[in-house]
Amino acid sequence: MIQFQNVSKVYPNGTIGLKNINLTIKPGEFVVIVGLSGAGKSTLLRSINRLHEITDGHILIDGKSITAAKGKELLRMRRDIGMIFQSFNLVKRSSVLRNVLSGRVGYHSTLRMLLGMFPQHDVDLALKALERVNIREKAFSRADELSGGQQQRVSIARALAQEAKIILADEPVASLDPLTTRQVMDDLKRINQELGITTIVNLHFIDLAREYATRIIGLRAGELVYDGPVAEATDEVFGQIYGRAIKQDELLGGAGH
Amino acid sequence: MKSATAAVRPPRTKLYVTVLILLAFLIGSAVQTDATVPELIRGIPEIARFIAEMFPPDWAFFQKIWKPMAETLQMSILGTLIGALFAYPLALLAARNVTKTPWLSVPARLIMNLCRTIPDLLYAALFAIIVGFGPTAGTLALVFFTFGILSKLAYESTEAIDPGPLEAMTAVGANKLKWIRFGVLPQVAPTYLAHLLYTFEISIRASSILGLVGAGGIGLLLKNTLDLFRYDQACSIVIYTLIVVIIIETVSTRFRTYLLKGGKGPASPARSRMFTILGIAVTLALLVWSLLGLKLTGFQPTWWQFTKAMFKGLFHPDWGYVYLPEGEDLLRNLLLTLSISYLGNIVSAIVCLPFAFWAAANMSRSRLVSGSGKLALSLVRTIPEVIMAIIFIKAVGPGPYAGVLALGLHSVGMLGKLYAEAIENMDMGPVEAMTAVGANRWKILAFAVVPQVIPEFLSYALYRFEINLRSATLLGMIGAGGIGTPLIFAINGRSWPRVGIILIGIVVTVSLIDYISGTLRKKIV
Ligand SMILES: Nc1ncnc2c1ncn2[C@@H]1O[C@H](COP(=O)(O)OP(=O)(O)OP(=O)(O)O)[C@@H](O)[C@H]1O
Ligand SMILES: [Mg+2]
Repeated sequence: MIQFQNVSKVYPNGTIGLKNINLTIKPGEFVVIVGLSGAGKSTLLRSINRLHEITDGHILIDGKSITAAKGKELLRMRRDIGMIFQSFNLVKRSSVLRNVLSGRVGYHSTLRMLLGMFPQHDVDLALKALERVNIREKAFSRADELSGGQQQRVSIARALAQEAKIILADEPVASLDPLTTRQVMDDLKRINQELGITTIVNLHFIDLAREYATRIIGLRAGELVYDGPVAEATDEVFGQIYGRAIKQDELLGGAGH
Repeated sequence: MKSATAAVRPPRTKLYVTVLILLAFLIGSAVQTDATVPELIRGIPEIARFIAEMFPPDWAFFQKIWKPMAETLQMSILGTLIGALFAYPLALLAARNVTKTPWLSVPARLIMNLCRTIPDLLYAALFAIIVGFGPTAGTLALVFFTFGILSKLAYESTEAIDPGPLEAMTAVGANKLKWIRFGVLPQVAPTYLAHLLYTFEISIRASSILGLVGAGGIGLLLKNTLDLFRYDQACSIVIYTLIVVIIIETVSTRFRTYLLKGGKGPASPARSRMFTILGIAVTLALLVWSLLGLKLTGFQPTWWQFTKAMFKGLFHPDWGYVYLPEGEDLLRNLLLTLSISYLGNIVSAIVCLPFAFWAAANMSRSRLVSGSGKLALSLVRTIPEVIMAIIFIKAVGPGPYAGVLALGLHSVGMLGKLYAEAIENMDMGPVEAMTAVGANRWKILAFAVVPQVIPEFLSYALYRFEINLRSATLLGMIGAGGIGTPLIFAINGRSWPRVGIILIGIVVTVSLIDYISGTLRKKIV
């Protein structure tokens, strides 16, 4: 469970990132955050694992404040939160397997990790994670030999190997073509359903949000302007979130169907 | 879709074999050069004493410094200008897009590369024999030295020019000279000038050490004070020289950036004409000052005989020296030189790591931290390796070990800077991802940083090895072990056939290593 309590964020230059957000996300939900560019979607997502520091309020994860966590405690809490990035953030020269294994570093001592010695259990786990996203056979390829969609699946596998309880995905499909977009979204959805991992995704495309989300959160200029189930997120609601009518380029279109 | 055959881990034998070979080289080199850790620790008190005696520097010594300092500058001004006079025409001859006839361009490139393989100190030692000790030898050495550098730079920039204007000139029906004057020169003029300034900067550094082998300038004074154990005076010489060098480099760099990138907005024709005239006037003034200031006498009446004897010897190398059963032969000295550069390389590649991470802007929160790291690196860089070699020779005695330490420490400055840049240029995405995974600083380093920068680090280390090899030959000439030592003995004893075979040995080794290292570097990146 993730709880936002009166969370605000003001960037050092005075820009308001988040304004008094109150939210509760229950285990196993598939939440999609929508909003205009600059609305604060990334800020919200990244404040959950404290890649961004908030300036006010508290964020609790399973009842424990990550905002107050320090040192090892923070690292330990981050271990349970997987993150998927728009630009994949893989080490391109390393093998796929090594990239996936890097999700396991939180479980072992620093010395052991400096030597790069992962137990067999971790390797099995990593291979199983790759199998789950259908790229087991690429395990020993270099990451930059893979296509964009495959690379994103590697980073999903990394979050799986991490045995994360929460997955945060910041525009995971923004640099993919429509077809691979659906493959990656399907993977996320399947993992969410089969393993019950709480999933929070930032998305640009409204039709994708409607298709995959169980719950939609709308942000506008750092403020929560909509929070409700998909069924109630009508075109008018989106119009409100966006402050105008929906444009064609905010729809992915019917590719893949 | 799943592939029927499960992917298998590719074998890593290649990696293991490489590491083993490198380790074997390391052990071999350490044995060759007597460079062991206890040896180093034994030398530390000596180094400390030497440095303690350098301070406080004898500031009053400045009165005696400024004259040889002026001589140093005059030598490099004259040397660079004369060198340039020959370098540009040769560059045009060597450039394949200007000179279409291979029987002209191939020999031109050969001369160019040959001149570049011979280090500055070697030129100085040779000319000191031919024309006698003093600034004449230094100036001549710098003519050849700057010629080698400048012709290469000019040649490379000439080959890179836009072919469009050349075709236009051909279409207009211009003869070859007009074709060069209107098609080539306007394109290369700013770069040529920038290269000239750059070469001048390098030549001042070279000029200040040439005196160590008797070629005039501040280096001669430095040698005298060292021989008299007046380390405080030596220290003030080094400091003053560094100040002069840094001032000139700073000014020159400003001009170079202006030449290459242009100023703010286009300069008016009147202004650019004024700058041209001003530039020519300053150059002429410097030239006159140098010609009047330098005592370019010293040409002994016997110089022609010497030159003849030298060339005769050089063309009849002493092949017997290649291998002598009792040792101290060419092969063993070359091997020693290789060992010195290899060890120096390893030392610097390791020592510079913490510096590189300290200096990289993206590895610390505050600019203050990385800025101080960059400053430390550039301080190390400014002290010439020859000076470092002298310090270490005093500390651990003359021999290969002093060479290893000098090369190792000096390269830290250069390599650290390149490494820091490699770190700054890497993709920060994986660092972010590892932070999100819950990795601490060390784990981030091991999983997000190191795998990204390793290829660059290796490539720079190889490149540094090429440079170190050249420096190692040179350091031997002032007593830091390796092939330079028998070379300077042979030069001073005027045994030219021996000099000839050593030169051949150096040129072959340097070219061979350049080739191997170049091939490897292409494979890595
Ligand atoms: N490091 C920063 N310093 C100052 N302001 C920032 C910084 N990062 C983001 N902002 C500002 O904070 C606001 C929210 O940014 P955020 O990146 O969260 O938006 P977003 O909804 O993710 O947009 P996009 O869809 O373009 O990714 C924007 O106005 C942005 O300009
Ligand atoms: Mg964003």
